[in-house]
Amino acid sequence: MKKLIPLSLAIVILSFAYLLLGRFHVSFMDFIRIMSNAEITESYMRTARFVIQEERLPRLCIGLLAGLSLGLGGTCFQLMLRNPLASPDVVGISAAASVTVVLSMAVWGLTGLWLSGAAFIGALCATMLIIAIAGFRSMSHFVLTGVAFSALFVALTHYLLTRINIYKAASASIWLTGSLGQATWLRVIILLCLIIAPIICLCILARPVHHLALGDELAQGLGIRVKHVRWAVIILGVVLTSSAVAATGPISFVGFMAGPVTRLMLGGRDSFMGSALVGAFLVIAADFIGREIGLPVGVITGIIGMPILLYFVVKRP
Amino acid sequence: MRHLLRRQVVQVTKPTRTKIILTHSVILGMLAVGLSLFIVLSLFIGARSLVDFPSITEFFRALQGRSEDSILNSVVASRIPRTINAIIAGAGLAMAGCAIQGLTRNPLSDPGLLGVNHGAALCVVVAIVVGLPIMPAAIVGAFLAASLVYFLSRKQGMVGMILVGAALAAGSSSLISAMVLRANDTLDSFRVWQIGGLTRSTVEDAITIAPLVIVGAIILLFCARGLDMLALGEEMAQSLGINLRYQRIGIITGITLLCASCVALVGPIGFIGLIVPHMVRRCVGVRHYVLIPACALAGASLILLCDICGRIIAPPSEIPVGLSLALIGVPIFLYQLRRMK
Repeated sequence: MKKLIPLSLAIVILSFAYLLLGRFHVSFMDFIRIMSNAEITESYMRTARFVIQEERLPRLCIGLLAGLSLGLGGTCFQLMLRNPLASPDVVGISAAASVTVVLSMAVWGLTGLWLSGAAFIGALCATMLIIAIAGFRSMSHFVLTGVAFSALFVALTHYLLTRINIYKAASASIWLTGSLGQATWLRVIILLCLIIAPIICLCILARPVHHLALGDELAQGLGIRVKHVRWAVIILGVVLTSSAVAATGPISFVGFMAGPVTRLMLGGRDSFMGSALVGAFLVIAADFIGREIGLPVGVITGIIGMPILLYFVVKRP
Repeated sequence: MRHLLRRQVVQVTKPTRTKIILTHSVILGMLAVGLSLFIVLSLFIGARSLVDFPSITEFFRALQGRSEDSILNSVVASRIPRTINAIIAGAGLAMAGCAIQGLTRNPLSDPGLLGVNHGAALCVVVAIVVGLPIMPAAIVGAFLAASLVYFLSRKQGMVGMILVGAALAAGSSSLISAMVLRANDTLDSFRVWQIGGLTRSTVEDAITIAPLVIVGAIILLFCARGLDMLALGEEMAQSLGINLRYQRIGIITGITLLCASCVALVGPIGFIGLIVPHMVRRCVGVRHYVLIPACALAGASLILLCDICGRIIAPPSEIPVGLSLALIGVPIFLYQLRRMK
């Protein structure tokens, strides 16, 4: 717990940097004035207020929440699949959301919040389909069925991308890379409502999960219903990841990197809170960089994530 | 399966061997006949033939380009490169799939694990942006990706290879997005390439690529014995006299050659390398010297079948091969999964 304090401080500092720095600089005093709803007279202050309150603050909030959910979802999967390099993307959540989004854009012309809603429903329906076909038999069965469906959804997405006109395809592609650009306060509130319940459930399940890390038989000996806990945590991970993906689009690598980086920082221990913080940090840092270059956050996380993953692979003894 | 291999290795009596060779030849012959049937069907059937069915002599004249109906000429002329591409791609990808399943000892591996498709896609996007020809870029990208995956995962074994391939996949898709989102034209060209199609290469392209496929197939056939021994485990194979390093390099080179040429020819098409070896293994057994040719024939037949179905299901539009393969491949994969567990 104590080791997480520097990380929390880093997130706070990064958030302030995110809000104040960039193409449009806002000084700290002006920021205080804006946030305290003081009287605004100068025109540059009006612009500053707009930039802070309507653009950067919602982006920051959604980035933090999405990074939090993705980090938590990734750790859920890594802990339950006993594989430190697993990720919810493997099971096809992002692919299902992508195909639903492209389909909605093409066929029903949905935009904005309706699109995100469709993505969320699509991801959940796909997961239910995978569970229905794979059954509650075993984790690896579930993962492999998810892999097959993921490949099918990806093929469908690519096919649909060729059938729609180029402008719709371009906007669909932008959504598919994951970006914080459409952040609004409404989205922030909806995302918050969606992830509060799973987070509370995870807090309740935190102790059984730590006992599960000792091994299935030992956990069962301690009185934990192993199968129920495992499936509950996986489903919570799915809900968290689907909410994040629906809000921002699939941001690559965050769910996957949060766990190993946390373990590196905490010296080998897994921690839900740690991966949530690491996920949030990654998303905001990537968007900070991407905002300046002009690329969506998903592209930056992918470009940074690849060498990090390669480093983890080469370093594994 | 292992029991069978050990018996054949230790104690081979003449009648058993002849019977085995006979069975294998019969099965290969049947597959070849099936393939020829599919070739004929592919040339015959299409959106056009459902409208008016030409006579056989007319059809043969159209094949030579000498029919009176010029539309029939051009229709048949457009089907020939499709069929040739389908045969080459199907055979190559199925052989590559068979080899990688033997190499990783995992029946659920796919030749895409080596990152070939993603490396090719990345180089294709770069080529589109810069203005270079696409096919050589695809081959170069495929080779670069496979070399990267091999060299980074040399010490790690198969798990490391899969992870490096996954890292490459996600990283390259991010880089592709970065380039594709900047200009709509790039996106337009790339999204068409991305789904894979049998119509984008001419017969000349196919003739240029075919030697690569043949060389890859020959390399794999040379490694057939090594693949058989690898199925017993790496230490066992080494004690049976297989040089692990050379075999691995040879097999991966063969797979890369096959995958690179197929990606250059028809774009990224998945699932063949995954499901064809399963189906063929059930009929022919596990000896790779017969498995690899059988996979080639079966893979070519499967792609032709998917292409024919894609053409006749919803005329005049057609379902591209990549999608129809996915639609057929996923149920087959799930069925195999059920049988395995």
